[in-house]
Amino acid sequence: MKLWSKTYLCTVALFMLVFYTALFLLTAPAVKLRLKAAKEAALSEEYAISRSLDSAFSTEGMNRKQSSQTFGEYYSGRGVGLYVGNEEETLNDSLSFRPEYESGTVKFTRHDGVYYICIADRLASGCDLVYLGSVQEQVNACIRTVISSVMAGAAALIAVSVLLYFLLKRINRPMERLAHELKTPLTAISGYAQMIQISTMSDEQRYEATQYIIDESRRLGEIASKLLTLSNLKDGDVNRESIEVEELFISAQSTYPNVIYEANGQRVYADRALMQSLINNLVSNALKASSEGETVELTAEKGFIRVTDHGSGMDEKQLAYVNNPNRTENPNSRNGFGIPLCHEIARLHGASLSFKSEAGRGTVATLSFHDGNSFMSTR
Amino acid sequence: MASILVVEDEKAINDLVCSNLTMMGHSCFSALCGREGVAMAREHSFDLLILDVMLPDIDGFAVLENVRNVPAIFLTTRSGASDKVRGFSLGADDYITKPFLLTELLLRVTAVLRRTQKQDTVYRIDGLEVQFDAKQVYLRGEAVELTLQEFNLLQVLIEHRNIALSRQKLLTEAWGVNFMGESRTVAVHIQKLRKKLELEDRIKTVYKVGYRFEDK
Repeated sequence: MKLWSKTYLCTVALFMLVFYTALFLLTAPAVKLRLKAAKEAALSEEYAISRSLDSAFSTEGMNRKQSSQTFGEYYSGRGVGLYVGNEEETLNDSLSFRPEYESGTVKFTRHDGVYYICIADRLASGCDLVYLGSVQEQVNACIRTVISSVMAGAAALIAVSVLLYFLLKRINRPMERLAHELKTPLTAISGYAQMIQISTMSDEQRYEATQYIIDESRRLGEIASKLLTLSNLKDGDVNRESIEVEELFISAQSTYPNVIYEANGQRVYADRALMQSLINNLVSNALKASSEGETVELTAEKGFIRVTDHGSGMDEKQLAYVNNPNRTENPNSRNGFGIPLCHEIARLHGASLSFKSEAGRGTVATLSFHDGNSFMSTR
Repeated sequence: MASILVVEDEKAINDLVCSNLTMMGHSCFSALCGREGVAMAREHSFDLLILDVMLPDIDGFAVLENVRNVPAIFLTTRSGASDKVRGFSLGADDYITKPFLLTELLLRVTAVLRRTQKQDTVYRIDGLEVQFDAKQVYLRGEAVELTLQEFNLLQVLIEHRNIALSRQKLLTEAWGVNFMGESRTVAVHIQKLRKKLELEDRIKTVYKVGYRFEDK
């Protein structure tokens, strides 16, 4: 497993742990409080009943059974079962079931899927009083609280993990690409150096091998300068000035001789080094796609700079990749990060970069400036 | 002599692998993208494929899936275990990550070819004839007595002709991995080979590297 996915999984697991602990600490007291309130309500009711029964039983000439039953009927109408009696006689029994009880205790019990609170007491007259009230409503409320907090937790967790995933992936992708980008020329350089050391070579082969080493070293140098440009970009180091587009084109031509241009006297308000790097990158890609000796055309018109080649063109998949400034998945290892760099430079100048291509007929890269101020014509 | 197809989109690396294999006496063909590789492999029969994984069109795994039943070595920058497992489960014979050591690659190529018995059975140069199966050596028609170690060393040198191998590599290749010899042992055997087979001009000492059998 890659380091970043490990980091990701650890972070998510840690977040889950902390989040659910916090949720538990928040909900547990609420649930406890609710059950305690239910218990206290039941206890005070039971206390009132026992006091009333005590006073009724102590009144002369009162029928114990009748008064017990009056209480029993009244409370069973309110969903509370009462048992009054002792081993010898039962004065009232409106319990829906007979729980195990020990006098002087309070407990929660479950019967047929319903939660009850059961209070057993002893009256002054020596009778047992069992109070059995349903607390299902309160229990349901508690379950709802727990479920909703778990659901909220899960939703937050999913949101955070998705966010984190894309964040980490975005940070890591360019790194992976960079590693690949560096490994390829390094493989060639070290391979040819080893070949010179160990193989029997003709002068021609020796020349070719050293030439490859020189070329691949230059490629490493180009990667380094691209990286430097990128890091300057990230620092926001952009010094815009008014530049003759022709100057940029001439400089591109001096690096890549197979370039013809038509600047039409346009000026652009841009960072010279960055704009040069953008144009050179586009030209270099265009030349890579062209066969040897073919020219690449540079044209500037009001609001546009175009790089046109007549090379091999791109298929849809590649076109989608190069046209998307945010896409980091690269279908072609050779493109490297030149294209994302170009998009970044365009973005900093308030411009956009788009590619049109036809397989076998060539590609047109267009840099369009949306901001009227950044592009000026001298004519 | 084996025929080998190298599918690698980086021309520099493709050339590097091809020219070294050609020096070792193999005939080497190169393809710069996956589809080209598949087309070539279907047209000719190759003894070995050397495949890059990241290719511009279809990847190296897909190439092997499309060809099948040809020994293959993957050559790639990806070093993830899942990629290795995928490569081996497709029937690859070896998996080498870039940047690689050239000698390592060439030794592994020889190992695969030995395993699949695509090696030459006879090698001839000047008046010398080496029969690998029979382990016999003839100089101008007359049999020459060689010890088993001398013969093994000669075989490794010829199999990797024009490539210098270090004394340590020669020890592991000719004597076996577990041999606790010194590099001095190699020098002594090289001297004997040179003398018995008149190979003073063929077996060269390469400064600070090792020995090389040259046939050019």
